[in-house]
Amino acid sequence: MNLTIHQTFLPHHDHEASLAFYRDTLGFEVRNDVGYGGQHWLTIGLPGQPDTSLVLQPTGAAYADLTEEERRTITDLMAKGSFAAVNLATDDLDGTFERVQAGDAEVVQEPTDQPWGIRDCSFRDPAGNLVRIQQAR
Amino acid sequence: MCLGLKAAAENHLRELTLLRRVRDRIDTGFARPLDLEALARTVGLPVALFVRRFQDAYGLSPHDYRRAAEAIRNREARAARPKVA
Repeated sequence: MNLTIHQTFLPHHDHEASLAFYRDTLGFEVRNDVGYGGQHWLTIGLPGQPDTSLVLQPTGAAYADLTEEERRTITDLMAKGSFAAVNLATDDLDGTFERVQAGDAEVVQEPTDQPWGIRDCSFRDPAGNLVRIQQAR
Repeated sequence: MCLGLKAAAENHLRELTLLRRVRDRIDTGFARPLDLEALARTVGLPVALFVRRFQDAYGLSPHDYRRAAEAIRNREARAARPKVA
């Protein structure tokens, strides 16, 4: 077997706000934008890494597999910051933190040496997902 | 009526978003010692109501949540001690 991590999913509740964060603040490129019923599925990835993408998907009415109560629960979990997360890495943590912070992102944690051996910082994306960025070794 | 429900739902989500900022400050250790009045101000609620809404959202009072978060951080720090290969 020779598997790669091709795509994984993060929820959004406002595709324009999430796009502004991932594209304009973090430097992702948009690889696909599928609109359906007013909702958008955005495939984004990092320049030079065409094999791995994130798909930002709506939590709105377009889900056919959720009850209204389940959709409300997910929306609550996203707002309270308990639903989804992604970990990124960079060779310049402090410079990246400064740039992302200057982009008006919601800072959770400044660059910190963690007791479990990594140095990282974290932000919330506009949908409430936790975005950790760690220093690559 | 429908507009009222929609507005209520939006207020609920806005409040959860503000409570999340408090939770993040507690999680990262920046809210130590807990200044309930300052935290309540960030959510825009009186202290007693803030404590109740935080508990509704996260299942623990801010003080209990902080104790739980610190216990988790300490456990992770111990678990991260280098292992012998």
